[in-house]
Amino acid sequence: MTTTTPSAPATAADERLARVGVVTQILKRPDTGAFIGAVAVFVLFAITAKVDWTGDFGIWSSWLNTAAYDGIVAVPVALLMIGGEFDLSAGVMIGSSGLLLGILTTQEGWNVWPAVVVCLLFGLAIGFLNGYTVVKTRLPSFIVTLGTFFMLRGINAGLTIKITGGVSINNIDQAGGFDFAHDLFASSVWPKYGLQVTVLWWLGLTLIAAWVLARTRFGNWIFSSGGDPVAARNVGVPVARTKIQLFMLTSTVAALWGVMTAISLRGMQSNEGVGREFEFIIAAVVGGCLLTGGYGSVIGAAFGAMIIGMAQIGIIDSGWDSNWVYFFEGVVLVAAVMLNTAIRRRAEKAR
Amino acid sequence: MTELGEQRISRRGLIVKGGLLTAGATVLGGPAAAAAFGKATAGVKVAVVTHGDTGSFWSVFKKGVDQAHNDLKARGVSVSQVYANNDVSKQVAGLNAAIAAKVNVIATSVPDASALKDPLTKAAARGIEIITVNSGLGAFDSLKTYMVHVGQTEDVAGQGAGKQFNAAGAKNLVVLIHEASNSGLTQRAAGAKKTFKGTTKTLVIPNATSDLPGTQQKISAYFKTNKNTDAFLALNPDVATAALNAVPKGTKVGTFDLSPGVISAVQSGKILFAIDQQQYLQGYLPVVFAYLFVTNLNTVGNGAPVLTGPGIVNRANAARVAALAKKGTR
Amino acid sequence: MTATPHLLELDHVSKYFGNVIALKDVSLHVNAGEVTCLLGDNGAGKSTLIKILSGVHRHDEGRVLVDGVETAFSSPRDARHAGIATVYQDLAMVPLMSIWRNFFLGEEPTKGWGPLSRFDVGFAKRAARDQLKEMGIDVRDPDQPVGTLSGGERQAVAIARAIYFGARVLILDEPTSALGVKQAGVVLRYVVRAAERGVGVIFITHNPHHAYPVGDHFVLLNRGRVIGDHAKAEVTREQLVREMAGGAELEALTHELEGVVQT
Repeated sequence: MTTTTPSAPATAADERLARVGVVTQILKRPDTGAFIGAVAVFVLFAITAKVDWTGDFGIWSSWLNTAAYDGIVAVPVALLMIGGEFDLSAGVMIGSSGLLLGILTTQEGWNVWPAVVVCLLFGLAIGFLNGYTVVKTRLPSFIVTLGTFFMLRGINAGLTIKITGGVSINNIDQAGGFDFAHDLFASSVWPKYGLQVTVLWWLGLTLIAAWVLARTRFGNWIFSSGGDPVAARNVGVPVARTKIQLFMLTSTVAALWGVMTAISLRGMQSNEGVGREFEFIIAAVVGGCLLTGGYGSVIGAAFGAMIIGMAQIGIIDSGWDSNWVYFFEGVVLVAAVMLNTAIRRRAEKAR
Repeated sequence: MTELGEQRISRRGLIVKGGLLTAGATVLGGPAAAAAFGKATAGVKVAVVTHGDTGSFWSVFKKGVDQAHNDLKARGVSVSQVYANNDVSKQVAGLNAAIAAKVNVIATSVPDASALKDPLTKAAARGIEIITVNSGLGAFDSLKTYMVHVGQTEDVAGQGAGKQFNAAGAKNLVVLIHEASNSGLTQRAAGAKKTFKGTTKTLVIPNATSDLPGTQQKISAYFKTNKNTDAFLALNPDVATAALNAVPKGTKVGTFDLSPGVISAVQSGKILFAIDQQQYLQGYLPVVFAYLFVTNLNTVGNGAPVLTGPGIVNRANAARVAALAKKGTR
Repeated sequence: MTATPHLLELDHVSKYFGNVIALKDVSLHVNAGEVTCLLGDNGAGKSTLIKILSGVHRHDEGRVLVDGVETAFSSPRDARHAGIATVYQDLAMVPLMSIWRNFFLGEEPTKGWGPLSRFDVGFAKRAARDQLKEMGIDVRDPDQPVGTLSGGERQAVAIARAIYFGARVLILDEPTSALGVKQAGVVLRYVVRAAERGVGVIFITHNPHHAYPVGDHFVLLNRGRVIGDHAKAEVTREQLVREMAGGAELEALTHELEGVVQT
């Protein structure tokens, strides 16, 4: 960058000035590393799998469906991480919401749809609780949402036992309104290959979130709330409100996924979702989101979820011991972060 | 007066003699008996420490423990319960806490015998009676204060499952192991392999119950890669009901343990059979055995386990079991 | 008082925090197109003064006047609407965000309405580039993160931003204090540039050598009180230095040091 006096010609004067190449521009994107990673993992399993990984779209459906299960909640988790915060209660929220739907429909005889609304409101409420506590107490969100995680976990088991006598809810499909809910949340869009509608939900949510991040005011506020909340507040960005809204979004999407899971399984048991919060975080980090906030991509998080989905199915399709899935996820996480950092550093030097 | 008095004396004498006889006859439980006899007048403290989680299986177990506690509360029995959610170190911590609290009897499940060896040896050294429940048959027989095993032998239960699949005419079986570090599950799979006449393979999906939709996808993927598999054995009721949507049509499905979903699937024929280990008994009986031993030196089993299973629930008896399951006790 | 009122004026302003006197009887003013330097060592009360000028604190005594009209700011947003922009020393920019995103942070231009209202990215990139050119900076790539710019360049972006959004008074909080000599010189040039564009600049610093070349007016602060108030014509750089450092104390110290060296 150079400083010139007003009278000098604007361009061509400085020999260090170079057009910023298209390739460099692509490399500078936070999601490039994740995309490369996804392609690499795909190629790996295309080689080792005992079934037709490339040609059989049924196999594609297999890992796309699996990717969607992490991908849907990974979207708001990524946004929240860019905004500088974590939500460790996103996983257990899935179970809480599904159990709530189950209790309302099977114990109280509600129609599915008002129950869905209540579950989403529940998500909004818990999200607000998380966000408000983080903002007011200034405690790390890691700690606050860890507390919520344990509370919800206890409630999932304890309250359900109290109300129903057991810890799993069944026969949600007996409730009114179930069929339409099933069509909307749990049906197959391509029955021949088994591609589920959850994949459309996942991709749709990702695209909307990516647009919000890149092309709206709110997106700018998300970046700045994570990048430097003090600077942001000083120029008038409503940082606290933005963070609270992000927490509410995360819990509500997790609640929605809980509803979708319960409809798909026609029941819910209280262990669902526990431990998944880290997979969402892995997807986001692999996707290029910095743990410290202020930078990242939801499209990258989608690629991250794809990598996780491919790993889980690919390992079974290759006949390997499933215990290696965890090892694989750990390796992918570290490799992805190193790759992302290396690419970004290179792209930044290239001028 | 003298007649009654004599009668009373002789009855008392009988009881004392009977007690001594029992004490003499049960060499296995012997040395601790004297100490326990001394504790008879104080309350009976029982610690139930298991690796259980909050799923449908263990909630029925817990109901058994709670009911026993309620039934015997008036007789001075107090029960503490720890469910370690498959975390062995948590279970060890629970055992150590029970030892520190100087309980009379510890009833514990054994997902991992070597991990629990130290705390249980310590408990035995302090004179605490030990009952194993649910898993761990034969693991701690050598401890001085070992009483009895209450449960279903995984091996025998697995064999039962294998036989059921034989009767159904299956040729290729896959067993889904849903917890990576549970020896009981591996024993069940091994048992099935022993009796099943066709080929048996295992599929391990760690923590399958925390992502059931994902588990469904993985089961489908397995069936696509192993096309001639025609039988599926689940070791957990929630996995079984989820698997119903993932296995190809015509696959013969069997499972361990009951849940309302499993029972209705058995009634409708979607699941062939369920192996019921009656975990309600596994929760209820140890408390009763503990009470009887501490207050009356009664022993049980004579070195053999008190078997609570395998009970086979199939289409023939499913309806009756269903009514009981609604109460949460089966 | 002259016919045209000052752009921004403090008239005998005091501020207390409990029984600590942060500021006492402080008066200063700035006119359009001029640079008023506020000099003072650390602890003199400069930051409290900035906070009152930028609407973070309320003054306890005295008056704050904008264009000759007495006002009291209820929030930083209020002060901003009155045309008073503050550029803080290290809190100006979000390093990971691009220049154009930083430029329009909090004041993003939009196209369309309701939920579909979009951040007008094309306009933002062009405007950022153009505004920086006005400051004399040619940005090759407005997408580059602000963290990759040098300290001086970041100050330039902050100043250009403030002016673009209609600042009539620009308060610069120690813009040169963390910079090397060359970068500091570059920033001073931006300060002059800003004044040339009609903005009234309050330049806060503890370095009289930086203040002297660009200031039209110098106010010295010590322990919450004004100890000196001079127009450029009335004072030399050396006088400023001495007055700032508490001239007499510095001379005594110099003598003592010389004494030590001699023996």
